[in-house]
Amino acid sequence: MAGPKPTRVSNRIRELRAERGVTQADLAETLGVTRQTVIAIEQGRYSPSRELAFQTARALGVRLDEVFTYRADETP
Amino acid sequence: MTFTERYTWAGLVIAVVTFVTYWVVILVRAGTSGRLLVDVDWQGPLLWALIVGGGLYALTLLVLWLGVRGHAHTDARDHEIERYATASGGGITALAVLATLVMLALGAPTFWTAMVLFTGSFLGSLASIGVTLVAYRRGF
Repeated sequence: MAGPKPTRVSNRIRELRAERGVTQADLAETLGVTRQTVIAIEQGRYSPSRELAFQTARALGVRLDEVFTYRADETP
Repeated sequence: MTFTERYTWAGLVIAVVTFVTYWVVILVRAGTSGRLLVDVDWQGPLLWALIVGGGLYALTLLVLWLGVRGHAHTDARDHEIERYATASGGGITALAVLATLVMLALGAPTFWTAMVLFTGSFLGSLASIGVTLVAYRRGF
């Protein structure tokens, strides 16, 4: 979707999923959310709660800051 | 498209169709009878609009729910968007209720009092629906 993203938080979920052969549906099931929510997070259309962010990092087997990055210099 | 987004789209269509149909019926009645809007029999069409619109919405919700029951179909994101949208549309609806109370206190015609509440509630719902759909499409 065109237009600015509503968050300055970017993430590497898609890349980390691909490395591990995890589908969006798999990750959604692990996290207990819908696949649409995983898609929205990946595309930067939704900032997950801290708890969900930590769960995502754990599900992908990495630290939180290896998944999510805050870019203060970008306009949201 | 999520379960919540689907029933929000359904709610938009049903709300608009119901509201427009009601006003078409009232305007046609006023036009054919040559009476002023306040003198038209509006109670029947309004009740039918509420019953048919509410019934259709409930039925749609049931059909959509039957399609996803047993599966996780809502999550924290849906709930956050719902809370945000409710707060956005609630202001308009509250304003309509306030205006209705003032009109009742001032003894305004029943027709216009009812229409302020009906239209205000419709606009409040429309605002909530708009905020919900934008949140799903553009991000939240």
